[in-house]
Amino acid sequence: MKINDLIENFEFDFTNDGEYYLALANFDQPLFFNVASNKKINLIIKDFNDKNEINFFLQEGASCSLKLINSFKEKTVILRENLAKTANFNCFIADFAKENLKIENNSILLGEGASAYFDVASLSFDSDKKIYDISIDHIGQKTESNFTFHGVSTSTSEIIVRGVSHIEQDSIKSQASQACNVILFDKESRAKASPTLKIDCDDIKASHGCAIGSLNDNHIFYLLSRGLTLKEARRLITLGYLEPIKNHFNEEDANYIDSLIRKGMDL
Amino acid sequence: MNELIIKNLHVEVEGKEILKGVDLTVSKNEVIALLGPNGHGKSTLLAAIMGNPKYKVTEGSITFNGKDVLAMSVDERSRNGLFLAFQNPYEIPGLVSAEFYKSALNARSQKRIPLFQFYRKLEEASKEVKIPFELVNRSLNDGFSGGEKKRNEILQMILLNPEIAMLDEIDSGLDVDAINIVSEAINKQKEEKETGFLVISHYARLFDLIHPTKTAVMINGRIACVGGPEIFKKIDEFGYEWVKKEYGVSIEKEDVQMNQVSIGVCATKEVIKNEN
Repeated sequence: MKINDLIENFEFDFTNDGEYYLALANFDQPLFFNVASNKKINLIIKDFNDKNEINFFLQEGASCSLKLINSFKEKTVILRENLAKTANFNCFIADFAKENLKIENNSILLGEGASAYFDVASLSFDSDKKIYDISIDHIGQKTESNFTFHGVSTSTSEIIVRGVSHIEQDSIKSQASQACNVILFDKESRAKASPTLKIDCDDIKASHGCAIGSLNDNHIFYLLSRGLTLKEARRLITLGYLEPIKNHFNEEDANYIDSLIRKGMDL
Repeated sequence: MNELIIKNLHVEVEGKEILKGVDLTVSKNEVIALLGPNGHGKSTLLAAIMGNPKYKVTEGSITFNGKDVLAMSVDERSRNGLFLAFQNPYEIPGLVSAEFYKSALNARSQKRIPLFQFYRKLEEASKEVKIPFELVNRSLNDGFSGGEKKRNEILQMILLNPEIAMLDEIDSGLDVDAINIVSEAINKQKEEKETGFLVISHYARLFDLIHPTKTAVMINGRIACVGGPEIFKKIDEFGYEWVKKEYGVSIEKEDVQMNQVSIGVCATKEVIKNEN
């Protein structure tokens, strides 16, 4: 269901379960979305303006899966979420545009049991710069967050990932984790990652990890030993790295993402 | 023709000479058992033939069907009919096995293999090595048991149908049933496709099942002796001391150096509150 024409004064209430599509290119003001209690929605966005801001308010027990497919145009996307008790926010980003991109996110896990999960696959090209600032604040007790990033930087492009998970003083028994992995495809490709944990509470679990490097030489040799050319071997390994993001999208969108990845990898 | 000829091969790794003049010939329809103490160059020989860039050939030649193998890239060697079953096959998360096999088959054919034909071949090969067919939709070797990884190497050999297959300790980590499965596949490949084999193993059980036509023993980076199956039976019974006495070869002790290992830990904090 497309919701562009249903948005009034830049606000919309999701009061029914369902899958929704939004074209952000039509909006140049911040948007405010409310997801009613215990409602479950998927919101798919493939079309953006130069700068977009969306604010989500998830009521008790609400669940929102936000799926972004970035395929063209330089842009900045600002996301903010405020989650009530046991509300859940999932954000899946498939970023394969040959353009600069900046994504800023701030999630506030206010209610007990609220959770936020981010899964990002990003491919950067030429001299592009892709910046991800993902911050998640744990305020309520027993809140959970997870941020997973898989990126491939090619040519002279740069990927910058800054993840901040802040567990506040009273957010006992909360859990936060971050994992950032970037492949530097070419010699001049660049990446910077800083997964940060700010912990003001003792009774919690938190972890972070980061790996930036070139393709594994042993893996390359293994594929070459089966007759694949070097170009084909690098392509297959990189595809395998980025393709899992498709699992979060429906078949039509997954096929679209597949075409973007293959176009990006020159297939 | 269909001969892999290695002459006076010298290979070094990180500045240290491992192979010090190896001479060996592998022909089609032949099974050569390659034995030797650990650290004397057996795996180095196979890796060098396949073109692993970590192994530098400093002298000698390798030809296959009259062509200079050393002038070929790794993938060219494979497409020309050489195959290496790895001692420790790599896990590559995200790379779907079936996708990989299809790409490997297409790499050695002018025309892309039709999907139906590919899946039929893959199903037959999976049955032959008794790997559940659903594993082909998983990431390559990811989460496979040791035995499944080794059988997966044989599955790839069946699919790619090489002229010469080099198997590096294909039996290590296999139980009795798995060794039988692998041996049957090797024998079938030899009889039906006339593939030549160069097989490294430390155990007579595998050789009892695949009936090598020749045995070569590598010691100190050279082939110390070549003979019939009686050699591996003697070594199985008496150890390499027998080679020492029979052929007057002294066995240099392996110079094992500790690897430099650095283990770092990213910050992980888990504090369990004491309810008391």
